[in-house]
Amino acid sequence: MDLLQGLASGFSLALQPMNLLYALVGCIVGTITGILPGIGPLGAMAILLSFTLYMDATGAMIFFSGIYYGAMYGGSTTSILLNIPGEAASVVTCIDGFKMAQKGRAGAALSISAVGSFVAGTISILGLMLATPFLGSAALRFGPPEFFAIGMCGLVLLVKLSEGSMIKSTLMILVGMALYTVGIDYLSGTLRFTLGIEQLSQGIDFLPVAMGLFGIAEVLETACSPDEPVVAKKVKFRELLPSREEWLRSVNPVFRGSAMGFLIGLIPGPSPVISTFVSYITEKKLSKHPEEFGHGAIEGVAGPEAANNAAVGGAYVPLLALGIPFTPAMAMVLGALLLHNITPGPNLIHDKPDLFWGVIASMYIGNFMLLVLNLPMVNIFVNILRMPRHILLPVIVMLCLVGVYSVNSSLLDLLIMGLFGLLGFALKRVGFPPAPLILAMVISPMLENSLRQALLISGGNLGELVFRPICTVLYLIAAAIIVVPVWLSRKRNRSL
Amino acid sequence: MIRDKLTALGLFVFSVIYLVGGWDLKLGALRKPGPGLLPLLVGTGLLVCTAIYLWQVFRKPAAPVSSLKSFDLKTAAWLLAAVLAYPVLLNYLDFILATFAVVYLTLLVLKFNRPVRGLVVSLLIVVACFLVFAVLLGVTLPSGPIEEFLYRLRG
Repeated sequence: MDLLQGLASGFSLALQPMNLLYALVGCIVGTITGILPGIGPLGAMAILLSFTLYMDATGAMIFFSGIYYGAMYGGSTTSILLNIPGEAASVVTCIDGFKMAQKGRAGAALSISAVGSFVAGTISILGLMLATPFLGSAALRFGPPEFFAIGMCGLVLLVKLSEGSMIKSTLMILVGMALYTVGIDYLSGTLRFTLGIEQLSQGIDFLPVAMGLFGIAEVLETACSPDEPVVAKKVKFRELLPSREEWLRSVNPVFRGSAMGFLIGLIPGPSPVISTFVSYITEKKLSKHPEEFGHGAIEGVAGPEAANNAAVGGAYVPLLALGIPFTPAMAMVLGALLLHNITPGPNLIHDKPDLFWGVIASMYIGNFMLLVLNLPMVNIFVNILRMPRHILLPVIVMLCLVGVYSVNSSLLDLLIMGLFGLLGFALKRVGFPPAPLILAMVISPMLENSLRQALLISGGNLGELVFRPICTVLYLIAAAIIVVPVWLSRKRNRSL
Repeated sequence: MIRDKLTALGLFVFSVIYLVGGWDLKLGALRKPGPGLLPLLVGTGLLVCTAIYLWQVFRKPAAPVSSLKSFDLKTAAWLLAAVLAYPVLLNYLDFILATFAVVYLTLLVLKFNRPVRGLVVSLLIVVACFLVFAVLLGVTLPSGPIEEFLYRLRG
């Protein structure tokens, strides 16, 4: 199936009424979660993961894509109007976006942010469309050693790029891997760490862990934080139009942000967040008016907003082409696919072309929906922040509780979710990021299987794991990423 | 800080228990690795990293205590208790009553000061959950006389 043919069939699928509805609901839910501080796209995906069981796989992917993109759009709204970043990828937008709002240019900032996000989303979908089949067909030649190397490098990069200290991220990854080992070992039929509890022989399910760590823990965190009233300035429709100069100054940052965001999206870690910082620094360096940055420079809104949306498309590439999620949000998408017994990987485009192209097409549609919906409805969305939390939090708690029960009708799953809610809350208090734990839990089955298969095939030759060309290159890159910054900082210290 | 030290010690204990728990699993040989290989690698990694973390935590000077107030933690503790109680309540009270109890408790914990309105809000949330999960999505929820009655109303 060539690109145009695939895209045409994707559009015919994505334009079906149910899929359009999933995209619309996903976009609205995503925008709301982007606006609400605390419950980010990851939390929303975790809370709604159980709902995807009642959709088909394509519908589930469309729904989650809508949430992810919508959150990026929604996050910018409160950053610009209220100086409150709804989620981490919008923190940078606060710097110049809020200053613009204080100068009476909130409408222009919102418009540039929405149009920039739309352009970036479209560019990144194009990149995804071209890169995934290419990487997927290349990956068909990969064997277990290559997949093991990709998984290991992914984890190493994740440790390096995660928030907080490296040792804490590493510990979280190892705890995630330890949790995966609970249950039956499917290669030998041996029970591992089940503590004599029969229900644990199926292992600890990803769903209650994710819902506990990101849903319940967020509720506990929000309940502990002070409830401050929100006063937002109303934006009139006619104020939304940016000036000619603002448009001209935004063009290059949007395209640069899109390219950077897509490429950063390909690497493991919180790519939408990292891409906004990289884009902001780049724009400041390239700008003819660097002194305006921090005081309401339009480039400081256009670049980062484009970058975080483009990173979303980039993050889909490793998942769809290799079956490896490099970001926590992609781990949720993988979780949704696994609920439908679909394991993404190099064969996905050949085996499930409808799924792949349907999702691509729905991303275009979702981006368009967000552009059309968000600007005229900006005042309505901001009002969501006024929703009393003593109503919002019980609703979220019940969605988590009944949602997780609805999947396996298991009381043990409910208990696991509660315990991981407590763990997630405690981990945040001591500065341990929970995202690496979830990612490790998802990647571990692939890591263990490819390691054991590689050793089995090579007759126990460890060199086979390291000295195959692709593996060597990947390990060298991972080593360089760890060693080079340490070496550079020591060199700098010595010269001081 | 005491909290970091406790975390480090907790992780250390977890690492040791995990390594000991995986001791009986067959390691196999390199040419035919067994189910114990990954647990051994993970357990060793955990132990080494925890040792480094312990060293870091016990070496650095004590930081000021966090500003988290005790009443905040009380709210979180009650919410968590409601979440953990739900599976038990679900087992004995079935869906409607268990859900109602947990939602009402959550509202009280979050200082919803109007008890009658709280009852109405709880009821609305329970009905919405029942409609979405049982009616719309067809989930089989723990049922007693109330749920049976509602199912009968639906026909």
